[in-house]
Amino acid sequence: MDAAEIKEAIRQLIGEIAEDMDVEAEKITDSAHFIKDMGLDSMALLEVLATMEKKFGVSIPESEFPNLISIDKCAETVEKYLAQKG
Amino acid sequence: MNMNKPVITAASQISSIGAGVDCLAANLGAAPRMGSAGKYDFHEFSEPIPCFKADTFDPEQVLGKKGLRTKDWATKLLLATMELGFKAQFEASSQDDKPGICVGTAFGSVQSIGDFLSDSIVNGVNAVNPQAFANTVINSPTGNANIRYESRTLSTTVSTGFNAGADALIYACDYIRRGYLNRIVAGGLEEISYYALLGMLRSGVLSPTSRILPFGTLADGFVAGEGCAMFMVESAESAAAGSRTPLAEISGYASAFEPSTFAGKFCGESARHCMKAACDDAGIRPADVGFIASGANGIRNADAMEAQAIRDVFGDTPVTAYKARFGECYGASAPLSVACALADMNAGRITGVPEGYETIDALNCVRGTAAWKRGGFVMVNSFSCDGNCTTIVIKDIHEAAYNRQHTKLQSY
Amino acid sequence: MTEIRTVITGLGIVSPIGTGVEAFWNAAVKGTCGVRPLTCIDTTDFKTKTGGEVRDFDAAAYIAPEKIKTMGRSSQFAIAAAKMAVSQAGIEFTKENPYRVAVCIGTTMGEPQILEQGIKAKYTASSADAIPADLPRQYPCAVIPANVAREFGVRGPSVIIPTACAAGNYAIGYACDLIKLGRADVVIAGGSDPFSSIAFTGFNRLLATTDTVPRPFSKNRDGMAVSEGAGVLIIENMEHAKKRGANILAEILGYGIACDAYKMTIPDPSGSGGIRAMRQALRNASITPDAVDYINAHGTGTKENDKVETLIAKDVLGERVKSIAMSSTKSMIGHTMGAASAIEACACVLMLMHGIMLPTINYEEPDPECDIDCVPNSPREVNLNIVVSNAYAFAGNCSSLVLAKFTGS
Repeated sequence: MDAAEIKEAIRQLIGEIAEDMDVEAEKITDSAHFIKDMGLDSMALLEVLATMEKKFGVSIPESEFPNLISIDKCAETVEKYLAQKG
Repeated sequence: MNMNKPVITAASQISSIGAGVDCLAANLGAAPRMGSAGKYDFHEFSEPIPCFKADTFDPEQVLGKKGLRTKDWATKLLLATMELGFKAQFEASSQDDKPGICVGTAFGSVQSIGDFLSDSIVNGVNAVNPQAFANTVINSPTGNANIRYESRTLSTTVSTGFNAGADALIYACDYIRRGYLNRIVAGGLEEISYYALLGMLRSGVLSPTSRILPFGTLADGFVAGEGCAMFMVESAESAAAGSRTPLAEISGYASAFEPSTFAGKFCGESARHCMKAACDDAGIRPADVGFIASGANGIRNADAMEAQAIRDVFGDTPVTAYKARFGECYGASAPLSVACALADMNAGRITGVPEGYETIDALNCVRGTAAWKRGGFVMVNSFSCDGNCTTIVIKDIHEAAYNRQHTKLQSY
Repeated sequence: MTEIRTVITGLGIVSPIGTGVEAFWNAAVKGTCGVRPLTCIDTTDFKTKTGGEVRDFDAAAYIAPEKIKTMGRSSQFAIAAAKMAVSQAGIEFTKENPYRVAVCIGTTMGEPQILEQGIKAKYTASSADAIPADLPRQYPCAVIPANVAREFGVRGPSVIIPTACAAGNYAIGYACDLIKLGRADVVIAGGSDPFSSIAFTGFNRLLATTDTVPRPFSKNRDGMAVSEGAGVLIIENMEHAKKRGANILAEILGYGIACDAYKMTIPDPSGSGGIRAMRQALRNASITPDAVDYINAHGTGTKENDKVETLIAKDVLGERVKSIAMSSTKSMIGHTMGAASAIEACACVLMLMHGIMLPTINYEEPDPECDIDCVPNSPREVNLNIVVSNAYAFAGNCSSLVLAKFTGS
């Protein structure tokens, strides 16, 4: 999976979650903060973490959790751990 | 404390018969609608299992599209039932005045519980969606209802198997009588799930001929169903203050336990006691009961026990068994029976079991429809294979009769 | 009209620090930690390796062998605790009207091990026929109070309230209501939960579990510990207890329950449900905040709970919160789910009787957001008259129970 595909997959997931939580479409951007800009909650973030691990076959340590706050940041983190995996 | 009798001022239901109480009233006597359950996300039945499905509504159409993504079927069934019946009342209430919510359910969302475990076994612990964990507690559907309607006053779940819904109604009445709250939306919920159906199949309680014949001489088990029936239960004073006309009064109730009922054996001692105690609580004699909505479901020993107990206490009082119409819905069964009884009471009739099979001699079991004079008492029973016995006595209320009555109310 | 008073005449405890009231109390005053590396589950794939287990439970000491195989671990715990409580209460059911003795139990997961057993059997054999025919009927949680009622041959209402981690308080509260409404004279009330791999998996996935031991109210706390156990109390109509010459241990003055109506697994940061429940409890108990001597916290050791619980205590008690202590029994026994507030109610009775506040163990670092006196690490002798016990749960179910030293009529 290349960087663009990873980002698109994450965009789709966030899109689903945000729509269900009634977030206005214009607030859903790659750099928007999940909590401060989109109003998602910590449960949604946990789901994002779990889904990314499952979908991309990576193991992301709990210490990274505070970094997973935007689509851009999530994609970066996934790429980092995919690269480490080799 | 307020020992005056609580009343029911609104009702809502979703079952295989349809969605809404008007639909129930119109179609109660129609031929029962059976579907089947076969394939699930993690498991599959080699042969589909006939059951009464409550797929008579579209969750998105009733609830809107938002906020349902991580909610399971049981939760959607409860929310839709509540939306149809009580949305306006919740919205019109201030925070401190919001009705509480009390749901009876035998299994909660056992589909979610079993799937959570199955997912962890098949895909590994680290593949499981954390959001799915919230659905594995039995009070999850209730909690979701409290969140949706912003009700902070009460959120309770009661889980006494077949009796769960009846016991939830009683919990609500007790809570109101203690003076804690004036209004509670109470009732029962049960979903069809792979895990519960599998349990029923392995235990041998399902009818191999896919028929549910309450009190039938050839009854060979039951057909499972799913549904939800909820009621606005409130103190008589609260109903009067809000100008809400009661549909019925909850005149009396009792619950008991039968230690000798176990592993397919049924004893009627506590059942008899329970029915008599409910009459005492209602301040009436057995002869005052107009008809009895039994919990009979085609398990021959259980039906025979209830038939004998009814015979002993009531003699020839007409008996019906609404489970013939919507299946064995566990925690939702008794509240659905209450909803059916309200529909019948309002129409001045008793909808009995369907024609076409022979019922036990000893019982005055209504077939098809019979006429019934309004204004009287109806008994709803729930006697379970675990030994739980619950009986509720409700009274039909004509508007005129209610108005005469409520001026005499006292509370202390 | 004078309200009926509800008193406690017997206690029973099954816990990771001791099975039996005396064993529990002796271990608790020593600050024993029952959260250890788990043996009942393979923790390889989990981030957390510790939890609470009742390692020495001998079901045969309480239940006839042929009955043991007809029920799951939750029922076994509940019967064991009930027998202890009944024995202490000195109650002979043959002398009671059986229809006026009720059973009211709270639980989170019910009998999850039965479901786990069935599903695993099916996967292992690739066939549902591998599930024994007498297994499914052991699963619905209604069997727990039914098994207790059957054990004693009692015929009053048999109720189960599965309001997750607050269930014990809900069950005890309803038991008092049954007595005050005149529907029962005696209620065998409490809570029970066995170790559940579903709960363990779920809390791990929520990143809510501690990597070591729970440190309630400590700044470096990192989560809760999944645990198991049961607590049972014999609750009676006071006049009924006096008439049969029972030794009264304590009184339940009232309870309050409410709902956050916020999120399913996250507490309302403003503590709305907990504040409402505690205020209601005090009102129903006819006491003011000034009368409260001690709070037994829900105190799971998660960042969120302990912070919100501190807020709740300050809101309801105001200035009074500076003069009293709030400790967490879960620091020692872990989070026993539906059994928690039942075991903790038993612990409160023992604290009232002995005049000792149990400690919050594993406490290392003060947290300015939890600036209450949590009785850190050592128990403390204090004369206690009235205590409050809190429990908060998924679905925003909040509860507070008010217990008091019995002062006679």
